[in-house]
Amino acid sequence: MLCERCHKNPANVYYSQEINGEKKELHVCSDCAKEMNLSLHAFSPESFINHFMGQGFLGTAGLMQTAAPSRAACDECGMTMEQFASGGRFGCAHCYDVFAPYLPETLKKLHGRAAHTGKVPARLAGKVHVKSVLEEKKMELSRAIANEEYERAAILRDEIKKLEQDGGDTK
Amino acid sequence: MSVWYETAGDDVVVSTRVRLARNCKDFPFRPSAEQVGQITEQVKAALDRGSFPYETIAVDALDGTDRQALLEQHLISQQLAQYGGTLLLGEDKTTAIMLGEEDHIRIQCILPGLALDEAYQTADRVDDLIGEQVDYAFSGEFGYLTHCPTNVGTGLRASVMLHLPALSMSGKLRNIMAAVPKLGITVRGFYGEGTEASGCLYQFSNQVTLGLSEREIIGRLKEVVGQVTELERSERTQLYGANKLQLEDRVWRAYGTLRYAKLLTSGECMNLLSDVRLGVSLGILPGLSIGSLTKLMIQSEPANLMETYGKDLTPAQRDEKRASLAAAVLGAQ
Ligand SMILES: [Zn+2]
Ligand SMILES: [Zn+2]
Repeated sequence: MLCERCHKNPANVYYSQEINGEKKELHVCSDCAKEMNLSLHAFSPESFINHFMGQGFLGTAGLMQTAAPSRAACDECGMTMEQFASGGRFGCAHCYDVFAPYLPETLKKLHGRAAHTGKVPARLAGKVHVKSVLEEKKMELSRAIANEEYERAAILRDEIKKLEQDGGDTK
Repeated sequence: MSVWYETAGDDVVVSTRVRLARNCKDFPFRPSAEQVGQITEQVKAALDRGSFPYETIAVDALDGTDRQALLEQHLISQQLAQYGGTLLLGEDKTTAIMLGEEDHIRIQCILPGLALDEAYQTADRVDDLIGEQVDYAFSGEFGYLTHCPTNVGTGLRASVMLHLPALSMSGKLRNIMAAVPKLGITVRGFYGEGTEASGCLYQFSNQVTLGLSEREIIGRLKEVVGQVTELERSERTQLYGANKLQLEDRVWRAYGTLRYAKLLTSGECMNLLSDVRLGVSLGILPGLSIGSLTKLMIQSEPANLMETYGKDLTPAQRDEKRASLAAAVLGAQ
């Protein structure tokens, strides 16, 4: 099915909201979802989110689920996006690769950031690249500019400047 | 080094706990019993190679009381107590490696008082030892991969147990509990997640595990805990200054009951210990040590009492044993 908004991209986000008992449904592509400011979160309100985050976390936007999941299943453990959405837990390490496109938003809600900046296991030292705080801030800056969040961009620019003056990497 | 509750913490901070969640790359997050066995062997081999002395405790083989006793001592998690697994308990009794938890490997270090840096360093060293032999599930983007995304990244959960009687009495604790989530800190009762605070004991831990370095996580928690500790201290002084006689009365009554009662339930004992502890910190009860109170608090819990006095004790018999234990501890000082 094509996106009901732009009619160009395949719809992979399913959005439903109940207003005064009337259920509204919408199938859109992830680009449109972004533009409409509909965040992609893959959790049901009964799941662990409320438990961990207290109330108010899900906001008033109603419940969103992604529709791509019917095809997006982990080829190692078989977990689908739907299963993850209802249980809030992954099946295996590979799930993180499979669901990576959907993860940053979810992780940002949980942690405020979406990229690891901490320890690297000894066996992988030099083999994987972990973003430094500086790189992460630079990425955030470009996202802020792209989203026309200029106030936030100004703050980030100052922070980056300070980090660079302090010798760059403050891990 | 002895188990955490046998050494005194300070007047406010009871204990510090740090835990790292790790998974093996090649096994699903819910491994079969056989796979848990393989993971256990790999971890043991790594510890042996690193000359790290430990004792193996098959939680699966323990009865309910034994499991509960370990849980009361904070040496295993609720999940391990409930569903079983294996505990590798370091010879120092401060490091507990849990296998077959929600994550394959959970490395915990628990120390008396405020010791976030030491606890993290210990857990970090054990993590390095295991990480040399075991292929961890890790991605450059998301860090250490965990069963639940609330632990992903560093896999680090640092917790500090605080005794906050004055802030609870004055009601200011409510404001603190409302404010700390904004700083990425959660507050829970004595036994962690979803438990009521008893004996005015509160556990402060980091909420965020991703996007901050281990040092930053520890640093933020340390800062919050430091501030709350100072608030509690000044609240105690203020409370004592304003209600000297009332507070002394409350403390001595608690002391009297703990020392001379013939029956004590676990909840009552916790709350009396809280008042006595406050009295010791204010100098109202000289000659008593904070350390002996922490030890009594753990030893007087149901399963630990049964470990000492017999597993066939009925609840009523436990109340009797608890009272005589408290009398002996307080009377000895
Ligand atoms: Zn569209
Ligand atoms: Zn998977």
